[in-house]
Amino acid sequence: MILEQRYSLFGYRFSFHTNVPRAAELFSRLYAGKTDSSAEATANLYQLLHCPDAAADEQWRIEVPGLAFHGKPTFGDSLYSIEASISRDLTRQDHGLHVVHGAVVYGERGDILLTGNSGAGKTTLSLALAARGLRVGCDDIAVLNPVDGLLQPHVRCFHIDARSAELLAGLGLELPADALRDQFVTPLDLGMSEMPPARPRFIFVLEPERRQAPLIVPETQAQAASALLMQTGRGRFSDLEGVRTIARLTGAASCFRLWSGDLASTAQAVLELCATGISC
Amino acid sequence: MQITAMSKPKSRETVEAQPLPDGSGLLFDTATATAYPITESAMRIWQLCDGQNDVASIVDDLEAHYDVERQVLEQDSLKFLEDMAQKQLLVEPAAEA
Repeated sequence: MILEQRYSLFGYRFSFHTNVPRAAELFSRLYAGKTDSSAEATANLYQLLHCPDAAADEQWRIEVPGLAFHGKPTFGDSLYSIEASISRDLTRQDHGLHVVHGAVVYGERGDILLTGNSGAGKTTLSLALAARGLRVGCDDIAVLNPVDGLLQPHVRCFHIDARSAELLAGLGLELPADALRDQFVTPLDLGMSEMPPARPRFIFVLEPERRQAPLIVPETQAQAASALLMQTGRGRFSDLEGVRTIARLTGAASCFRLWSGDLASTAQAVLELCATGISC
Repeated sequence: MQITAMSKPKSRETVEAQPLPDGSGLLFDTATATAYPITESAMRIWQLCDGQNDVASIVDDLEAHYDVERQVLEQDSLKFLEDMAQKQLLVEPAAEA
């Protein structure tokens, strides 16, 4: 039986069809309160089907806009592809918002934005901060309102590989058994349900190179803005409007460039720096 | 565009300077959609690139604000201005008249 759901995220309307009750439940929890009640149909369809009779590496099949069905070996891989597609398509929408590639963490002394290229370690570091008691809003993209300058996390699952799961467990982050098997964890699994808009007071630009010990160096707000512009989708806005909005975001924050060391030391270094409440 | 001590550099009209609270700045060239982050002192120099100030008077201003030898300020200013000229963010005053 196919379960059908419809959602509207920041005005981006889409349907999600699945024959996997767990996937339907997951989406309904992730996107609680974002159900699309419009009578108008949408062509933006994401499907996730489990086909137990198919070959082992194709039992999980997904379809996303612009891509016909193709097989995936695991539930986690399928979910990752669908969520990545939703993020990509959300970025391309003409919704009057900027889409920033970064993780949002709520800190005691101010909100934190971790930005950097894919693979730089935003997810693992944000979850390491969660293990130290901070709340994580998102690990991939957040939506920046150019009017009020607030950054709204785009909620989705945190996808982690086995190595990251092991490191996070070592930091005391309790991951459900499903998370280790499926290689993802939901914000709800970590006790996070409310994702209020953030106003980052600390911005870290993550470098992909790893070091033995973490290195954090101050960055000018202009350097951070320049780096963040590379990670921002501008939607309907002109490049100049994008520059002004991002400059406003970094202009309200203390900015740093971060080379990660081992995960525990890196998270500790970030926490200590943010605890000082350095003014911008 | 050749920058010398006698030059009176002028910022190109297509370039928007976005000053940041920490003193640094972002130069955005709308003609090429390229952003260039610059330091606080470079931002100070940039704001004096109005086609009226020559490099010597720009260095005068820097000397009044920074406790740095004039020769160093002059060298750094010329280096920055040459870089900006190479990126075509500066013009000779007559060029845009």
